[in-house]
Amino acid sequence: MKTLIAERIYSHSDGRNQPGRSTHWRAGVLAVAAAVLLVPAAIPVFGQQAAQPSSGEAAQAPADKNNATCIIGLEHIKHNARGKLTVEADALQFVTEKGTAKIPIASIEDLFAGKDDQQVFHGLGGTAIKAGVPYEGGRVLSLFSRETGTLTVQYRDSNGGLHGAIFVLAKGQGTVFKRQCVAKGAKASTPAEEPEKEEKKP
Amino acid sequence: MKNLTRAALALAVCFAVAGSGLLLAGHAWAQAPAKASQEPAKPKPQYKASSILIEPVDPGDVPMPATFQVAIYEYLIDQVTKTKKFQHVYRSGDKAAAGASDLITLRTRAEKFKMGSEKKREVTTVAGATKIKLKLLITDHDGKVLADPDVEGAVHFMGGNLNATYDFAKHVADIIRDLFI
Repeated sequence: MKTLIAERIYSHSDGRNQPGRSTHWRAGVLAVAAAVLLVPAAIPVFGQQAAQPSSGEAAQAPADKNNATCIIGLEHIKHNARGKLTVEADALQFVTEKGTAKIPIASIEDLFAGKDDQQVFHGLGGTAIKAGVPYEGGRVLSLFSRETGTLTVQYRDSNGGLHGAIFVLAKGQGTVFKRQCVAKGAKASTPAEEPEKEEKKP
Repeated sequence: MKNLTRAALALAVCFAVAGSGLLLAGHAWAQAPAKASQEPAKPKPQYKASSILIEPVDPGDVPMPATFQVAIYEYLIDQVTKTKKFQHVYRSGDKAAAGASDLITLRTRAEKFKMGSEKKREVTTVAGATKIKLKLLITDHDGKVLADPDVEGAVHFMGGNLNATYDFAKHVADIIRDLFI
């Protein structure tokens, strides 16, 4: 229908039909339609790729690259900083490009592992992408989210002041880190749960 | 003819009087709210203190996740420090707070908690809000209550659920600004 209208517009403006232009127009419409169909199909794959390191052996041994976001609570580390969280011999260590923070295991008073949802398109970039889609189409992109794990650590500094740090990790990682810290002597008011395993259907 | 002129004059005078009366009334009506806005309805007490101690959230019977409790505590310390009303902002348990003479204590107790969903918020705009409500208790060194308002925090559209805790801390910082010199 649109192509018919386009052809009519061309024939009116130029006084004659231009089949070459209408072909280009059709190709453009087809390309846009293909993009609209392919983008939602690609998004779940993108989300799964991001979630893959959370399950299985990868969860046991954190990768070399950044594996956590510190929402708040570490001295000299900015809010929402991305970095590498590791459990060292005597401390929980968070390393970013701009600094390192250590929480001594002995100073940890409590640990909580939880889970949350995070949008696949999140942050400033994700919001810009969603806003850029015409006709409120960005809402469709909001449907794609992935499950994440959280680790909340309550600890005391050398003066006795209470601190709380919140880390967002890949799915299941919060429990893994909690177990590692408890194994090294950290206190926890609730027992570390087993990481959720995906049920294999026969 | 004379009668007509007199009637017209009388009508004109009536219109003039009524018009000026309306103008005066309108002017007075317009002035009244302006005066009310200039003068604060109730003078707020202004306290002065050099240090404040912030205690962690008391969840009470409200099933508030530990992540939210910790986020509220940390954002409170962050936002109260940013008000620059106190020389020292002490964390709970800080030994240095014991020596402070005019120490103010800030306590929070959870009253309501509703976990929302970021996905619902972004897709529907009207549903999925995360809301928290806490009782704020600000006391002086002798235990006298300086303020005990209910403060809410919410995230209605953009951002993760924890943004409600940031919103709450911002509201508490506004109260601190109003309350302290």
